[in-house]
Order: sequence, then structure tokens, then C-alpha cells
Amino acid sequence: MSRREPPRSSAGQSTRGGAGRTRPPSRPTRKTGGGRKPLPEPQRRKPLPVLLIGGAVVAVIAVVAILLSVVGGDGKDQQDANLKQYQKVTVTGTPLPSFPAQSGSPDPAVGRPAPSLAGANFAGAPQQVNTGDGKPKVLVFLAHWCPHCQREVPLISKWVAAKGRPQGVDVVGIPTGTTDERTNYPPSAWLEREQWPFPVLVDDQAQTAAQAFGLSSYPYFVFVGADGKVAGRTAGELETGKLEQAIAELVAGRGATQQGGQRSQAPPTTAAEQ
Amino acid sequence: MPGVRTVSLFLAMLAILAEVSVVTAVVLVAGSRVSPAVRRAREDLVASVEPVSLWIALGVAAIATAGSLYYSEVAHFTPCRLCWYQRIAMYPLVPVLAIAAVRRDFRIKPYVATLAALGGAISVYHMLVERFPNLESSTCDPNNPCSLIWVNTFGYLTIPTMALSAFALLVALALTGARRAREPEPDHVAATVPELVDEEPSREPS
Repeated sequence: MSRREPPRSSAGQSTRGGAGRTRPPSRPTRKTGGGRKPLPEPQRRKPLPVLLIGGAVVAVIAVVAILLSVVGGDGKDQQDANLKQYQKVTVTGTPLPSFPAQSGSPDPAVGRPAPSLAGANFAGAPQQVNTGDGKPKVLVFLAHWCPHCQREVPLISKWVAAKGRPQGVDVVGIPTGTTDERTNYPPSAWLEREQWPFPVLVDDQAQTAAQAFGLSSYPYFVFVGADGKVAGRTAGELETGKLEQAIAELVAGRGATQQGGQRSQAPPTTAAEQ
Repeated sequence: MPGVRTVSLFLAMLAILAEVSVVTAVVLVAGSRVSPAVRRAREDLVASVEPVSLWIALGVAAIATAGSLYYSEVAHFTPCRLCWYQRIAMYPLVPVLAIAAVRRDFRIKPYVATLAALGGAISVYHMLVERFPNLESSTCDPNNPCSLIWVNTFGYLTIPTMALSAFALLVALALTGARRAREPEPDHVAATVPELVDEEPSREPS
């Protein structure tokens, strides 16, 4: 589509009479490119300088965030300086093989003698798990950051608050896998808040206690019979009903029962057979 | 670590801003069908936002990417499996949107919308796993379960929640002006299809 030149009279004037309009000479155009402007739309309002507004808002938010965190403080639970989240642990005896991750496969640790632990609680008071002392034991390995442990601990606390501590068995909580890089730190504050009702033996940074008992995932329970041999192990959240039943059987000397895929059957041992 | 809290506060407030923007957009779209005044407001907003929508989207993706890298490289939070999938959706948007914004290539929008929607879907699933850890497993893998909640600001903003806010805003930006885009835009067309501009006019015999 090209522009046409209007016919011009030699005199340069319009041949029509009347108003005597002349048209300015128009040049032949070459490429008009984008010069063919679209008709301007009727503008209702000037468009907002969105990028400017956005940038200003982000800057304000950054300043507010800095102010809030300066005023608000660190945000971590205030720790008692006397409580240590790692304590030295000494293992006596042969470490157990790792708990099999696949449910249904037999647990090689069942029937083996369980190692003993010597350590301390958060305050540094000595704490032991002596598997040879003739009393059955339940070791509960917990990680403060693990959501499943966070659900399990209140269950256990409520169960004990309702029914009292189970008789004839020593239950010990072992906080392990502790790190200040993950949430719900420190475990001392967590267990106190949840009113953990049993003694605590704090694992060290190398997770010596957890390794000795073959921990594979959290939460982790190890049931040791009165004879000092492993009666059963399990990982994952445990309903208090099942925990109660397992402890009852442990005390009675029957060993752990087959529960789901994560617990193995132990050969029945009675106290008389020691 | 005091720095983490500041960064989390910053990102959380931006996430809230993103959420407010998305809700506003949805309300404007829904309201346009009912009220001409809302439709005019929406058209005005679109007219202001659409030309710079690629730059805004770039900003969103860049901040999300930088935040994610801060958490893993500086704060030493280990990304779990689901975090990686969300990163796969978000990280490539940064160079892609940067190039598109510089070239003013708005054709990139459907691709951005698709990637952001996929990323957002993974974020939603991740949020469910955080809320119901038993969805994935009844135990915590010592290495890094996806149910682990690293950050929780204002009671509900975890890392996947903030990621979802960013993905949703990206989808909204990518869809801005989607209606208008169906009508031919002379500027855009002229810039990309040179054959439609004027050629040399043929000379008229005088």
C-alpha cells in the first residue's frame, strides 16, 4: 500500500475555487518501518510506574525485616548455659548391626547381647544404661528436628501422666542427631517443654550411642530383655497402646511381638532361662 | 544464626505481598464479569503492569532463587528431594525471563506459566508432607526428610509455602494481558514481522 501523490497544477494552486486549499508537497516515502503509528487510544489514566513502586516496596520490606530482627532478638530458645546438648558417651560391649530399613526382613540383632552405655544427662549428672543388671530396658532414640519424634514425645508424656511410669522396666530417652542448624533446637528445652517423663542420656556429636544400637531412622526404639539380650527393635512413630503392650511382654520375659513390618519376632526367653 | 531470621522475615513478607497480589488479581478478574467499574480498574492495572510484567517476573524468580541459594549455601539447610524439584522449576526462569525481558519477547509467557504451575503443584504437595509427615513415611531419614520444617515465619510461612507464593505470582504475571494478547498489537507485530511494513511505493507516472 503506497501513498499516492495528489495531482498538482503547475501553478501550485488548487484548481478548485473557493477555499483555495493547498496541500503541502508530500515526499515519496521509502520504508516507513514502525513509523505507521497506531491510532492513540484514549487514555483513561496515566499508567502507574509499576517497577518504581515495586522496587520501593521491596526496599521498605527489607528495612522492616532488618529492624524487626534487630529488635526481636535471635529467636532461638534461651538456653541455660549449664545444659549441654552433647555429652560424652562410653559404650561397653559389641555394637549391634544396623536396623534393616526394609520392613519384613528379619532383624539380625534380636537375641544378641546389647551393649551398655555410660554417659550423662543435659545437666551433666551421670546416667547409665546397664543392660546386664537384670532389669529390662527400653531405649528411645529421638532427634529434636524430626517431626515424627515431635509427635511421639507428647504421646509418651501423656501416657505416663495418665497411667504412671511402667513398672519393672527402665526407660531412657537418648537425644541424638542434635544440630543447631535444624529446628526445635535445643533438645533440652524441647524435652522439658514436653515434660519428658524418663531419664535422659545425651548422645555425643558423633552419635556414638545411636551407632552402637544400629539406629537407621527416627524415632528408634530398642527393647532389651532382663537377660541383657535384644528382644526387638523398631523405628517410626509408635502408638502408646503398642508401646504398652511391648513393655508388658518385655517385662513378662516373652520378648517383642511381631508388629507390622518393622519389628521382628524374638525367640521367647523367660527369666528362668537366664 | 541471626542472619537466617532476617532473611526469612524478608522473604516471608515478600511472600505475603505476592499472595495479596495474586488474590487481588483473582478478585479483579472475577469482579470484571459483574461490575464495569471493576473491569475498568482491572484494565487500568493490566495496562500499567503488562508492559513490565516480564521484568517483575524476573524480579520474583531472581529473589526466590537467591533466597533458596541463601538457605542451602549460607545457612546450610540441606535441600530435600521435593526442594530440588521445585528448584528445577524456578531456577531456569531467571535466565529465561532475563533474556525475554531484554528482548521484549512476550511470547515467553505460556512457557513461564507452565513451569511456574508445575513448580507450584510440587510446592503444594510439599506443604502437605510438612503438615502430614506420614504421607511420605512414618520415620525420619537421618539424612533429610521432606517433612522437616526448617523455617516457619508468622506461623504458616514455611519454605514451600513461600515458594508457592512466588510460583502463583509468576503464573498471575504470565497471564496478565492474556486477553489483550489475542488482539494484534501493532508495535509487537511490527517489531517481529518486517514484511508487513511499507515497502517503496511505486512511482506514479505524472
